[in-house]
Amino acid sequence: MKRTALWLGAALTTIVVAMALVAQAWTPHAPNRMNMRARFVAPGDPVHWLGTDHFGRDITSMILAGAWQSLHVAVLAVALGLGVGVALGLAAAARRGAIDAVLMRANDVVFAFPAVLSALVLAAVLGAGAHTAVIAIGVFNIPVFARVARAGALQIWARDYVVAARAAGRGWLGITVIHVLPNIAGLLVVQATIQLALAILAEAGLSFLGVGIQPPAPSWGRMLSDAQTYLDRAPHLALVPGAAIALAVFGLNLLGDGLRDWLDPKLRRTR
Amino acid sequence: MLDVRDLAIAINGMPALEPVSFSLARGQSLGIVGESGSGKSLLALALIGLLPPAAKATGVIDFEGRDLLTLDEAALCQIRGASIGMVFQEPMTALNPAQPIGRQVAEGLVLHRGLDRMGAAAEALRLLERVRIPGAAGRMAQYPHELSGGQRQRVGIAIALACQPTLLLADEPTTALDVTVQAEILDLLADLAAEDGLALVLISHDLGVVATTTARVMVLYAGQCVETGPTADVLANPRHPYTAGLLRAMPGAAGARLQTIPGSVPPLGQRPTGCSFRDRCGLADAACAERPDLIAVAPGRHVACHHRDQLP
Amino acid sequence: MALFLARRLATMLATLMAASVVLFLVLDILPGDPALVMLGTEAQADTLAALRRQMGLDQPALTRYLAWIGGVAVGDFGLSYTWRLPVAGLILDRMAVTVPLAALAIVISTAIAIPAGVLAAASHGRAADWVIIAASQIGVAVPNFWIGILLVLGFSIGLGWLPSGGFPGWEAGVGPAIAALILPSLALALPQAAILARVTRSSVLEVVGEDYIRTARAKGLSRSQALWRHGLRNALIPIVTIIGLQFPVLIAGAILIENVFALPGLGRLIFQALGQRDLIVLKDVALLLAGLVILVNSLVDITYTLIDPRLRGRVA
Repeated sequence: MKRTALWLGAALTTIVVAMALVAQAWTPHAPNRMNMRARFVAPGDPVHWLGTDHFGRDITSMILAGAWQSLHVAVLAVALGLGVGVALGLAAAARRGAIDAVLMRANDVVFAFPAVLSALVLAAVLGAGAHTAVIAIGVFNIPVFARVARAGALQIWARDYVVAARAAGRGWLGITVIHVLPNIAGLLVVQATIQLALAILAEAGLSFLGVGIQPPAPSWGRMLSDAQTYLDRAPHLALVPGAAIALAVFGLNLLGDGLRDWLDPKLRRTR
Repeated sequence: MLDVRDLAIAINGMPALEPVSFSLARGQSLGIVGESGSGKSLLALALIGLLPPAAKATGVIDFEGRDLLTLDEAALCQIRGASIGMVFQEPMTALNPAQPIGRQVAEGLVLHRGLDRMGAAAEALRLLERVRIPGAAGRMAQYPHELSGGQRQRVGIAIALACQPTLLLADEPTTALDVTVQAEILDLLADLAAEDGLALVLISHDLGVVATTTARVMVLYAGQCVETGPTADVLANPRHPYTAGLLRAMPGAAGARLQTIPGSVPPLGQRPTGCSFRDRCGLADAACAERPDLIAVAPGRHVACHHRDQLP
Repeated sequence: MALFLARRLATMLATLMAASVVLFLVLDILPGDPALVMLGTEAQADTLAALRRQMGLDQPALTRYLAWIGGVAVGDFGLSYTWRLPVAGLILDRMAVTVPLAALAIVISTAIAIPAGVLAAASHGRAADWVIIAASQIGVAVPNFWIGILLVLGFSIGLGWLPSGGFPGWEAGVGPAIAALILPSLALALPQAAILARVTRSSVLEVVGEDYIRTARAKGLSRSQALWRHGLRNALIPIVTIIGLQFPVLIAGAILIENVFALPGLGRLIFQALGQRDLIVLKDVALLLAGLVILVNSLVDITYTLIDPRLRGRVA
């Protein structure tokens, strides 16, 4: 049953990534082309498979193009959090002392600003857009990765071979690169997968509020926000993008859980 | 009082303990010795009706006229802690970390003897003093993490003895403790058992532990009883090669040089046919392909070995 | 214990101060001229000058920061530029929506999750366990604002049982006010419940296998007695931790959900403040929300020190 999670997660994630990549080259229709004579087409239509919205835009094409936008923002944000967070976490574990204490306190501060909140604040200064979403989500990811990297690294630092390497006179940077980083890589990959899922959720929320991806680029979150106006006459406008978000997040979560079980059965914990 | 007949335990259908029989009266003590995987802990759990769900026991455990294996859960709850007490191996984890020790000792008293909170607390204090915890009154409100390992095990014994049981089970009660503390705990167990005249079943991987504490001993190997008899007799004159091997592996044993038994206990489901010890036995030959029965070699003395007369 | 509380309180205040400095830097220093940001480039020179004076922009940054924080400390959050009202009053009005919303969500999610988690653990490996695991996997994947939309589709548009949005105010009576909060708090609670149920399940499973549960059973306690008397307190530690860790998610969710349901709460207020470029309100509400997260985390820290006696010795 454990392997089922891994394979199902990998399959769903592959589908979402494939959607995003295909959308770069081809979509059934241009995702932004309006057609006022074909508004609110219901799903199951031979031309517009998942129907059209209030401007007559093709939902299938918007979902495909939205997959790219969503993954794009999520990957950049997690990369930002991963890069900065892991560097800080590794340094804190290696140096301990003041750096460690300052980092942990700083984590508490960042932790107090969930991505949606910091995006609203940043949007006032930087303007709304994908860049604001990337920064807001990325910054919230820094303490997450810093904590994981620090906890993992502290365990490695206590191992005999690290003690031996220190006795042999190797510096902390060398030990970190040669011994610590390779040993916590699996841990980081698992965390990154789960954070990607959370980043997709956060991005959808930001775009729903209008501070994330801006028009004309299609995004799942904004499709949901538009759909609210026409909920009584065209519920499929709300159902399709929501299902797309849920599917992407579900797949990544399963993949993360599956990877964790596969890499280390002892690590089976909820967080 | 306790009469075990053909008790066998299977885990997921695989035999973990072959049928064993023994009986015990008040004031008597029995040591059960074996390596991990010999089935000794399962035997102890069966005696108090707490086998894990995957394990199934067959046979008869006649305790004070009732067969524990046929009793329902409610009836077993009446017996556990009241007439049968049990001391566990890890005093660190066997006590609830989030509850003061006084309350943990008092709990059984409230449950079985219907004492109120005050009465149970007074009795718990008396029990803590009885297991020789220094400054017991001041320790009632302490949590397990504030006690040393030896003191925690004393609390464990106080819990087991709280309702004056007639049978006390002790599963490796000293394994997790420092060597210096081990002897104190064993003395305490033996003294208390003698004072109350209760039957004691002491389980250990260590013949030395059993040697000083129990009158009779039963040696288990891979789920099978290989030798049983009066402790002094078995230790002085082992008749089964496995018992002899265990004795040679004891530090400070008569033979001076410490020896180990080659190999390890075969895991469940991979036990050899015939004598289960033959893969590790220096005396094994073709005859051992057939499983040896437990045969009386003297009054109260049984051995399961085809070569029982070849040991010096 | 008193020492621990004092130290925890000091850490909390320090974190709060740091958060306020971050907000001040981003919203007061980074834009260069906040008044220009608020009014836009076509603003009249005299309006601009008046706003600059109101915000004290002629003063040095440190003076401005101290004036802001000093005011917040005594409950004076300044004057909103758009609403022409004291921000403190605005916030108080909006809290009458957000606090009940969040509280209701926590109650609902706990009421769903703990029984579900315990049930899953009790039927470990059987059908009920798998159903609950699957449901919680789906629950964590679904965005709460989408659940909100689905609930409106089902219960407002479909069945017509509950309002699809808006808030009549508490003066309209408790019944209508609560009715307006049911769907939003449900939308907020369901993903939380999914996470909480998973944690409860694994926490209970872990505790069931503990040696001290076996000791309790050997005393003669039944399975459920042993679990309730000895297991629950120990199982609660990770559960309480998760409720605390999830609080920022709840705050973020409240901002979204209030906008789905057009509820006049703090989340709606901060969103409107952004729309109207009212940096004063934005800064104050952001500080308040961040402060709430910091406060809840400190409370959680203190709570599990109370639950777990082992931690008390360590911090004292």
